[in-house]
Amino acid sequence: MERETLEKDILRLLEQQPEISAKEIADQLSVSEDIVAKTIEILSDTRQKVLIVDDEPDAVIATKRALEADGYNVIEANNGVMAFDVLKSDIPDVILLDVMMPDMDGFEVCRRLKEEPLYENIPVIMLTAKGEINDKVEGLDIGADDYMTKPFNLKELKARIKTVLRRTQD
Amino acid sequence: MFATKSRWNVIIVVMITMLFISSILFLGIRANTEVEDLFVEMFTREQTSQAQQISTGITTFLNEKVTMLEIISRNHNSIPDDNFNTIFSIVYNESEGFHAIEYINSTGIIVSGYPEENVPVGYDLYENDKADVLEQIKETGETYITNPLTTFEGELAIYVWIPLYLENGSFEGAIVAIIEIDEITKQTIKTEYESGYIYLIDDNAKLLYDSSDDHLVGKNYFNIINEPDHRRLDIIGMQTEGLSGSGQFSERNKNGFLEEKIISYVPVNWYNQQWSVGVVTPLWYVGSLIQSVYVKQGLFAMISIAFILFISAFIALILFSWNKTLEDEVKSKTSELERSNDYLQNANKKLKELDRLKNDFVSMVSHELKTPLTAMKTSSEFLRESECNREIKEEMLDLIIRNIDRQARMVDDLLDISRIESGKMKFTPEDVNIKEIIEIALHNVQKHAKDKSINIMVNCPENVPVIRTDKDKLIRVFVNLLTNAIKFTPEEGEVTITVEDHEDHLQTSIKDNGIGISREKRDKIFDKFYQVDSTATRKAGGTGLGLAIIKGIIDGQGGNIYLESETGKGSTFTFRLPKELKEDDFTEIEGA
Repeated sequence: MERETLEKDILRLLEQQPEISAKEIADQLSVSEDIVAKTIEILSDTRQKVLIVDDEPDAVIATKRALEADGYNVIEANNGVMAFDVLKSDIPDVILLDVMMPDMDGFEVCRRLKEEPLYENIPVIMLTAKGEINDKVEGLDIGADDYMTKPFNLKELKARIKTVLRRTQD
Repeated sequence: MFATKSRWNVIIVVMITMLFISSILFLGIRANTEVEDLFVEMFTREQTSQAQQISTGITTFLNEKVTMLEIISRNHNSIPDDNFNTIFSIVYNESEGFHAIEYINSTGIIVSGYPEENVPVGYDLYENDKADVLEQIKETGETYITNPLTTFEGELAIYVWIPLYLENGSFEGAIVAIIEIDEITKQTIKTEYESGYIYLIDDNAKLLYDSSDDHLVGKNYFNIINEPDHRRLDIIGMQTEGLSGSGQFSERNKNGFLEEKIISYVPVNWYNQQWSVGVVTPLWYVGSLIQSVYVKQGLFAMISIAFILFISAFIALILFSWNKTLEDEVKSKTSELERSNDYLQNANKKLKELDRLKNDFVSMVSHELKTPLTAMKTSSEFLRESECNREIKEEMLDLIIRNIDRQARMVDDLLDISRIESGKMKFTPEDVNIKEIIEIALHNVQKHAKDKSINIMVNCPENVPVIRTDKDKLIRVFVNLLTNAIKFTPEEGEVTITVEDHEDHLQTSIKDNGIGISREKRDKIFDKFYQVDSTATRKAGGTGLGLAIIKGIIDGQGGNIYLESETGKGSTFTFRLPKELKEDDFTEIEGA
């Protein structure tokens, strides 16, 4: 709520004085210059946002670097609960969801996402080390948009992300 | 609806039952009446034949006497000198039943007789006006029998008059025999008749004999009957007329009650005399006979039923025990089958559980192996495809190396687990000072401990004994347990290693004051791939097999390991290792 007002205020000031600097805005709104700069950066970030939910830190880092190099804005979550925390502030354009996670597995996270009206339109690509066809069917049954088996081909992943994004944008 | 129906059913059943019972009763009563009638009829016939016998007996008896006397009276040329005294005595003594035999001459004087005491010798009939019978037989020349008369002695008797003619035809008087009625009945009615009575009357209804009461003898029977039942009067009438037959009448008994009686009567026709024998039996006697038959039949039936019941019970018992034996056998076989079925089901369950565990294990292994591969593959592909700065390139290469190490560790751990599970874990025993081991382990983990500012305390006795065990594996145990302890202890916490020298084993505990482990997790902590916090473990490069391998190492050397923990207060892992190696304890000793 606070962030939303802050964003609105910054946008209003920028509209009034296109040449205004971050420092001046900070002074006018009496918040730190860093926060203002960060908010302006977020507001001016037009990259598409990808949320990776995986309990394996290394897997997340590799994928994150690869996608960032391709111009995606990547945010991450180590488990299902954290994913929903992240979703409160950032609505991603696509979610990469690992299936094998402790406590709440990927299927459960996906099911909850699709039950929530706010998130149900976010495309979900399931990632799992298990390659059985049953998992694939289960993943798609509960509303996942696509499905990839670990270890995946990076090109294929990028292609699928693009496809899914195009499909939702249409 | 149902209630009405069932009520009707009950009424119908009751009615049918009543009908059955009443028809059985009716048939029984009718059968009983018929039997009674038949019995009475049979009995009456029997009684009549008895009366007939008595009648015949009396006639025969008297005829015999008369014939004898008639023989004496014939074929004489003159009156013997002794006036028949000799022959009279012979006849009297040889033949029973005579009261006296006497000879009366033609002038009506009793000339002689035997026995003398019963004969009034010299008695003159004409003088006493009693010669009419003598006159009569003189005229007719035929034997004449008087009506029963009372003798001088007061007894009822008959007088048999036999005319005596010589061969030349002159009338010489008569031979007279006195026969007492008592004697006649004594000789002819020999049967004792307890239930009823027998009586004899003449054609004037004068009572000659009564087996039940001899006081009434000589009186007219019409006058002495106590209950003037017309049936009885008719019967007596018929008796006086010389008819034979049978019938029923009622009469008061000694106690004054009316009793129905059956009578049979038969005439006794003898010369000019006509008497009648009556045999009387009370009806209840016949009833009692029937009853006795019934009682006997009933007894027979009851004995038969008892016998049949006994035999049936015996057979039933045999069958039952046979059945019981069979049942027992079937039961025991069934329980045997049930037991084996249970056993098989349990075995099946265990096999299924094992299969499930195996599948879980395989899928866990597959996941654990694929995860580092994924990271490596992604980063490798990224490096190949993209132009990236040095910093990111190094990060990616580090990541690849890290995951290769992890993969290698995982493979090693899997091999260890496989060895432990197949009992082929190899141990290389050597003399080991546990202090040295602890130092090496501490050196290994000191970086982690320093990072979190964790103080590790060691309580070890100075002269701790040397034990024989696999050194490298023991170091691994310490490193693993210490790493875990550091991982779950907050910054600036404390980890304590305590070594205790027990009799035949060394006990070591590693205590932390970390987050602790809840009860349900405690039981699973030594399971393969069980991780209390998987993310944290993976960050530290754990495979989830560490504790399972440690347990395998300790157990494999004849020791044991357990965990005590309290949530929020910390955990203590304690393991014991025997000081001396026992061959049995080792799963397999290298080189042995």
